[in-house]
Amino acid sequence: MVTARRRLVWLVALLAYGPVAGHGSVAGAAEADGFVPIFNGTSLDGWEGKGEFWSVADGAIVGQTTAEKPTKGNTFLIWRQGTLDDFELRLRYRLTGGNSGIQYRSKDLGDSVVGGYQGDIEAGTNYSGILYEERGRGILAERGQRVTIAADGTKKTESIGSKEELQKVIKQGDWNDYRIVAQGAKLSHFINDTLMSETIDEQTDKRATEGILALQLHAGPPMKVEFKDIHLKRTRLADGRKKIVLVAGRASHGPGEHEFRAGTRLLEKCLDASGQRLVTVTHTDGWPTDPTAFDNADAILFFADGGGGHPVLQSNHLGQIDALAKRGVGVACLHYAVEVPKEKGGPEFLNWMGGYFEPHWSVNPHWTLAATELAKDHPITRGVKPFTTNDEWYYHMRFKEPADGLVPILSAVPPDATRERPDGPHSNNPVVRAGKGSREVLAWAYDRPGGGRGFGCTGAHFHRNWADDDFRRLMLNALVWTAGLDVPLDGVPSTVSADDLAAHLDDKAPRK
Amino acid sequence: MPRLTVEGVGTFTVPEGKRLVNALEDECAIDQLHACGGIARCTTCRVTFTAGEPARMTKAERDVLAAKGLAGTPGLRLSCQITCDGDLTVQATSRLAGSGRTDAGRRSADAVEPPPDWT
Repeated sequence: MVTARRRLVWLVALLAYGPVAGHGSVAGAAEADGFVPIFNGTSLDGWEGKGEFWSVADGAIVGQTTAEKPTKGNTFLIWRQGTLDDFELRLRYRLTGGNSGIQYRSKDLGDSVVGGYQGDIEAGTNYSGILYEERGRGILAERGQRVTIAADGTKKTESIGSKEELQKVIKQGDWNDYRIVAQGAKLSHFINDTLMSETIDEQTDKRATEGILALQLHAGPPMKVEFKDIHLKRTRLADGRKKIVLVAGRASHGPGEHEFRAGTRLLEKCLDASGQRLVTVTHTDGWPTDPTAFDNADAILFFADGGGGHPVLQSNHLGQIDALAKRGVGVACLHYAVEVPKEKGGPEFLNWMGGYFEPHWSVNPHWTLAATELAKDHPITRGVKPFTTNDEWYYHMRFKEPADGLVPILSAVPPDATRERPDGPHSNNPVVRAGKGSREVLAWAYDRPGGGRGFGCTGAHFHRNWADDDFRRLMLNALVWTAGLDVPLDGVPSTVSADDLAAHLDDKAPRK
Repeated sequence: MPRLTVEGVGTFTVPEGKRLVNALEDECAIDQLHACGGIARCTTCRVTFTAGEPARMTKAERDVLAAKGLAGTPGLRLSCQITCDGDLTVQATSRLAGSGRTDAGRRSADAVEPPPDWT
């Protein structure tokens, strides 16, 4: 009875390929004002630098050189939990001698050396508050300047105050508040709530829109710098760009199977090269350690082992993603990550994505697609031709009822032999067994009634299938759509090489 | 900290007292040549000052500039014989790119070599 009703719903959906609803607004933060502490006040957990220079004392990160222990070149303490794109950072600093700074959207050059944008800090009176590009273009904006850098590198400068007067706001040798606001091309530095410099960096071949956060200890005379109360708020990306956070689960299965890290890295590489207006961030090895990882995401992909061990079921993650989904953040799950227990995660997955693998209802045979059908006139299938990959194509998903907003994206007819296995939580059940010859939905899109999008796909057990241009395009289109971007008329373009496919594979012992 | 401006490249802050040849490489990311390793033998580390040219010169610099027929060229100095003690502005004209060389030369020591003997 339930099956008949569900099939009727899907028949209607297959005929209609429902309309695409608007994408909801994205926000999301762990605290009321959106700021999250990224230094715990007691240890350097999550930070990495040369141990001889960095320590924690009295609730502050301390960087120090002495006459006996100088640093030959500038050295940095790098925040290792995430990268920055658009954000607001607040911290307190105290400088005793020398020069320091806050690197953001920067590059790790190895051996604790960093290059990129720096909010400068100085014991003298020349450089505090300026924008300096370490290992790059040098001074971009002096204190008291708003500088617009054109695409060709030419600068237009206007005054926002007197360099000397602004210096008086800074308490030499005492604690000061530093705030950096980076929103698209606009980079603003505040000390003690006073704007010190502002830069609009439109030099596209040299500017950075994302990169690491680090703290500087400058070469030269002995110095000591302290940082505390370091709080980060991620902000929605400027200029209509969207952000996709890809989460890869920990290694499982044999070589070439459930290659979560390699698969997400491959998708990230393709998306980054696709020319779409988006930023991608990939977290491998399970749930991100960055407490702000999802705060300005427009879409999140989970490619991980599911069931009771699904990353979203651990700790307080279910509530965290549920809150984001309610704010319109897209959620996509791939292969095993579409499975959660009916009692824990099932209701949420129905709300986020409109469907999921329900044990004792859904099944997981390996088979080769036959009679493949793709949704007509849906953005996710643009440029995609029917394909016939062999995969562990789960089917007979549990879908939301009524199915308003659900669109079957990919369907096929499984071989009847896949319905003849013994009953079990993943292998077969009476409803599946009775459905011989039926068409099954293998990937679907969901427009939530309250805003936001979801997508699920049951394939991608085998890493080799990423070489299939149509399967890959379907997934790239789906991610772009889930994030709320327009999908190009011919689909998201991508090419992958043998080297690309071999990159980032988990280190797994060959099966005996 | 002094400011080092490389014309056409940018303005950089450099540790006071740092050898100019090393500051050009480290702070300014210039592919500055220094074929002899910064010991005042080859003159490939030469730069042209447009502002802030130091008044004093090492005897080693004086002698090698004279030997190579470069003495008296306005603003032309050896970056390996100069430390950043004030704000400087230079043109970096002797660079690895386009030189045909395979590398810029051995890294110069932190201190001026040979030990400065001022003219």
